[in-house]
Amino acid sequence: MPDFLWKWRREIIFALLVLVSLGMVLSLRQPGIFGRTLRQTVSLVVFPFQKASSSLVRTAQGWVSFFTSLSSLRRENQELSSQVEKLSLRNQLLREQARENEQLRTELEYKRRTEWSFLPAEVIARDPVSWLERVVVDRGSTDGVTAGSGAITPAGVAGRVQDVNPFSATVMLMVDSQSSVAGWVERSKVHGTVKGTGEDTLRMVYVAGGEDVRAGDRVVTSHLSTLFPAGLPIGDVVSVAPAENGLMLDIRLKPCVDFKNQDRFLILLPEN
Amino acid sequence: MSVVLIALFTLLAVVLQTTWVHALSIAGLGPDLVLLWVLYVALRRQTTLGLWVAFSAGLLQDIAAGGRMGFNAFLLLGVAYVALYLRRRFVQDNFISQLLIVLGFTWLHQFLALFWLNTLLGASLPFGIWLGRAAGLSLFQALLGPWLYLGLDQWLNLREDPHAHHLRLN
Repeated sequence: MPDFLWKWRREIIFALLVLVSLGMVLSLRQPGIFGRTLRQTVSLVVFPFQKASSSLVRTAQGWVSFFTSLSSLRRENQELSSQVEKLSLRNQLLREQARENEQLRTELEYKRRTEWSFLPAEVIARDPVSWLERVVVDRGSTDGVTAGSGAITPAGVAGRVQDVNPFSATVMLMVDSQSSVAGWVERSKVHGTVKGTGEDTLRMVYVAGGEDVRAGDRVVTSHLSTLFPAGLPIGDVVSVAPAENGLMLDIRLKPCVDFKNQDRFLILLPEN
Repeated sequence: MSVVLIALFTLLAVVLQTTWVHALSIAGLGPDLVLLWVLYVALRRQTTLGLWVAFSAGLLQDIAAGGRMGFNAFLLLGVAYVALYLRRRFVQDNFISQLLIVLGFTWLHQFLALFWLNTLLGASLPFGIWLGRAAGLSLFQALLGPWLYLGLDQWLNLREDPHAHHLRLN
């Protein structure tokens, strides 16, 4: 190797690796075949280790929680049993109403709505020191998950699937600064777009000044959303103020989902 | 330290970072094991190896945690390069100096992250939020780093020279 290359080898390697990393970051809007193959291959290698390691963590957490909540388990069990009975009855009534609703929609020749099925998924990896609010779940393309699928919890909207590998998928959480979903204020039906901020709060944007939005209002997914069924809770309004330009409102929301401690999601898969 | 061992430690650091650290974190903050490992290799081992480890560990972390591919690789490369450049100027035998080195490099890593997130990826992270997280993280790192390095040094020395343990015990 020429002396020049040997002398500057550290700088040359650094420059080359920086160029490769920069190329990867900048080409992410449309990842090429190389990027996709690399991601899928590495995911396949890392997945078993992550799955095993996260199972270990979950088992340990389960034992700790079992011993710390032993005394309240019996009472909680009784409460849950009675709740299940009530909810089963309510579910039966709602099914009947849904059937009637569907029949009426057909008679009125309304456009058929998307039916959804729910795929349970467990979080196998997350990086708490990362600035990006994303998690990896143990469901992938082999389970029918596609990029763009919605992710929810019983509390409300959680995020959407960003990347899919054969056995795992990356979910971009609602609080990620690049996430957005169409929503409306449940009470006044004011439309807007809910965006993540990278913090623990959400922002509702594109709402004109003078619209009827108050602190305490619940914001839910609207019919304009193609990823989620309408009516799923997103967050509650905590503050409303005029935006800097004076034309729009700056609305802050507290998310319905506790993202820090969420380790299970339901992935939405359209049935028709 | 063989390349295979370094690769195994890199994989271990990434797997633990993405699965265990969240469970052990306090107020949403935990240590960055991958950064600690990259710093260890860059400061203690041969020159260009630190860059390769930084790149591969960052890329692995990006993919394993579902982040933007290349982003962590880019950040860790920056940290590893500065660490390699300043390597000879640091006194690393002292516990306090190790603590300060880890503290300083964690702040550098966080500053690079803020800079590139806001410029390269178009995010708009508020400075106050960044400051709080960076301070919490660097505290974790500074408390854990020197102990981790001590353990790694002892284990690696023992592995390379089994008599060292025997001599110390006597």
